[in-house]
Amino acid sequence: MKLVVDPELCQGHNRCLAYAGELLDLDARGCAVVLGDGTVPSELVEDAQLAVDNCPEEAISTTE
Amino acid sequence: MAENPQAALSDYDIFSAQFRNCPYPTWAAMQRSCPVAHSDRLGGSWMVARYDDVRDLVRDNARLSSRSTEVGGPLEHSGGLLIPPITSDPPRHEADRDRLMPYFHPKQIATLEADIRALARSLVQPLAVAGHGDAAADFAQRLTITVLTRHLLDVPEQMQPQFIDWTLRLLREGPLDQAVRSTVVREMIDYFSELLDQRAGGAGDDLISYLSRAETEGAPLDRKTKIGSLMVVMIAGADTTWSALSAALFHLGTHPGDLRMLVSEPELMGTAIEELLRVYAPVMLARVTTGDIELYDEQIGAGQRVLLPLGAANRDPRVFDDPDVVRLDRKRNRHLTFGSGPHRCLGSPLARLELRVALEEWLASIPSFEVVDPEAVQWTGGSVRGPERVQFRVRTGAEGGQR
Repeated sequence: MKLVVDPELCQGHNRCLAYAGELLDLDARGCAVVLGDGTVPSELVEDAQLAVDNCPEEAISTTE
Repeated sequence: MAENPQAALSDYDIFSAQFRNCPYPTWAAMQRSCPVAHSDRLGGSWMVARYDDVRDLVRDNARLSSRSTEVGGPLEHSGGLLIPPITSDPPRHEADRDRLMPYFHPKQIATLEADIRALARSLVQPLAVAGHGDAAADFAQRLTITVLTRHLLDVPEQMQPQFIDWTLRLLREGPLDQAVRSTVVREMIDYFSELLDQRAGGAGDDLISYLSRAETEGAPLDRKTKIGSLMVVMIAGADTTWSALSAALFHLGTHPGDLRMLVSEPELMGTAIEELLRVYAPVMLARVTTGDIELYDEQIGAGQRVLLPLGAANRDPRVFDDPDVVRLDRKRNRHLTFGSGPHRCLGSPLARLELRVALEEWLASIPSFEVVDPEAVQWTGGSVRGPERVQFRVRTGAEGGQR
């Protein structure tokens, strides 16, 4: 599973970082960027899903 | 509710005591059977209440302009209050927002934590000793305003009562009385204008000095934008945050089970803050249609005001299970309290930091308390909703053990 942030949709609410801070960082505009290639370790799958489920912009998603 | 919800909703009055104190039955009725309502009051407006509608419209900068974001008052006078980036439309909105970002970037905001914690502690400890007070005026207001005067604007703390007065008159009386609104706007413009002059050419790292130096495309930024961007900090950053914090303390002081839970399980603070923000979302946004639009069966002409109550979206049962119930451990919480789209609240990292640190310090000093006569609390309304007063008394250990 990989975490993907759509930079066109992200507005920088930072809700995802509260749940999956190990997988994400911020750019200069305060928007989320995935670390590395976004691969989600198995122990962080639930956190990644919560990051997706709390985004007010629906800007973050997971892919297989 | 009235037997005919459409009739009851057709002339809503957002400043009535009934709506201010409890808007939720109105919004629930709209969500069920009247997804768009209209009122002739205060210059006229349309209002939606469903989550999807609020979300889609708040993001829609093509069909809805932000040139007037006041919830009431004559729209033809909307040129008087320019507060970029809130009142900016594309294409200039992005530059107006990005200009302020260095002051509101989450990593910058995080550097304020220790100072805000010391401030919160200094405000709550005397209340703990006294055993009673007003959590709104004595704690939430003072915390929020002090962060603005001390950390963003670097202006004397004696200005705090003036800032509170401006905020209250502009947001609570302004929509009902254009003379008050004009007076306050003039006073604020004069004040910030003078400060910009005083700090022009200086190297200060406060927001006023920064904006005094600001340029756009190689030329000095226009003065109206500089002044407006300072006013926005006051207008968007004061009443909103103190209302959310006051409401959170009101909730904990009227729900002893939730209070005990948060004290005994501090790891819930993250989800608890988001849940309290969801349920007590203070802000109602306003936009103006850029052309004719159709919402459900209503034809809305160009230049009409549309109200977007974020607190209504947050209680839509289509999106949230048991939407009126506060669950401090609610993990899936896609609330719209800070808006959505390019106009999302720039100050949200600061608001969240203030809420978390303020609640942590409050609970450390006052782990058990109750709101006195909660039924008598009056709530503000219009752009920003929150409890006007939160009179509380500290409960002693013996009292706490009885429940």
